[in-house]
Amino acid sequence: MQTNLTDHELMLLVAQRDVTAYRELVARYLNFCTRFAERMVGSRHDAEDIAQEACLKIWNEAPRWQPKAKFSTWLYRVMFNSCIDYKRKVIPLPLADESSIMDESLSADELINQEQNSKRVQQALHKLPERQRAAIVLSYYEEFNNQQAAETLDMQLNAFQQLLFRARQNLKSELFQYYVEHKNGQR
Amino acid sequence: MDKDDLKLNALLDNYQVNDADGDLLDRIVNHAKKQPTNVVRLPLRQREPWLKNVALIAATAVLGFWYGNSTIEPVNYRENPSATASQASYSSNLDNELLGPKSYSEVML
Repeated sequence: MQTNLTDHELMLLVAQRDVTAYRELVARYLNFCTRFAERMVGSRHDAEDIAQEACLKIWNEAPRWQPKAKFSTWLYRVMFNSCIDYKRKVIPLPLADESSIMDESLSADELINQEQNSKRVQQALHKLPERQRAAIVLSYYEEFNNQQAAETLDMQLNAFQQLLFRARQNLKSELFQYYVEHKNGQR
Repeated sequence: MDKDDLKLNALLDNYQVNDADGDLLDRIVNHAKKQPTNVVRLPLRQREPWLKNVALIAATAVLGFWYGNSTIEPVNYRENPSATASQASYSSNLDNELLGPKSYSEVML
């Protein structure tokens, strides 16, 4: 069911235990939640667990919901904090690559190349500190503007811009160094 | 955006992940429906209305006990401490009353 209700209006209905409103609200944000969590923790299975926990928080917190901030900003923060908590609780396992999307129009060589690049980027992302990783995921993959991403990470705009700059620098040095070494090794 | 930035973006593009599937949405909604209805935590005074009365009674009892103790004279309270100091070198009046004089000289006194 698609409605024209705002997030806030849906949240008020969820507070009255309206399951249809809850389904609608979760459906709006579930894709973001799973994608964000997967890029933060590196596993599809764990990402689904984190997304489920965050979405249950919507249900449980609805009766006390007060629109001090936008619903989306609140949920993004919940997601970020859930990922951080999860990483602290769980011993990191080798990164899984089960969910990376391959472009079917590419040749076999190109597919292999794309898969290798995907793994390499995933590994480089996971070498970044959590906030830097979140900055890249929000800014690049989720296409948040800087202000929105700064609010999600509870930072000032300037601080976020510096964080994003450092994150990109670290990623460049990590990835470019690998490709330089890789090319030298092939010669 | 410089050449390195473009190169980085091109590399980042390689790492794509899938959206959530419909099963996950169903699982989440079903899980939410099973949540206990009393999951909303009300303020303490609404959850335990009797607690306020018990706290008031306990506080009154403690204050009453303290006030009562502070105003009752102790059992060994003495009106004139200097008088007892002078008797300290001799046997106490109470001893004399209970046990009688210890010697003939005391009887004479």
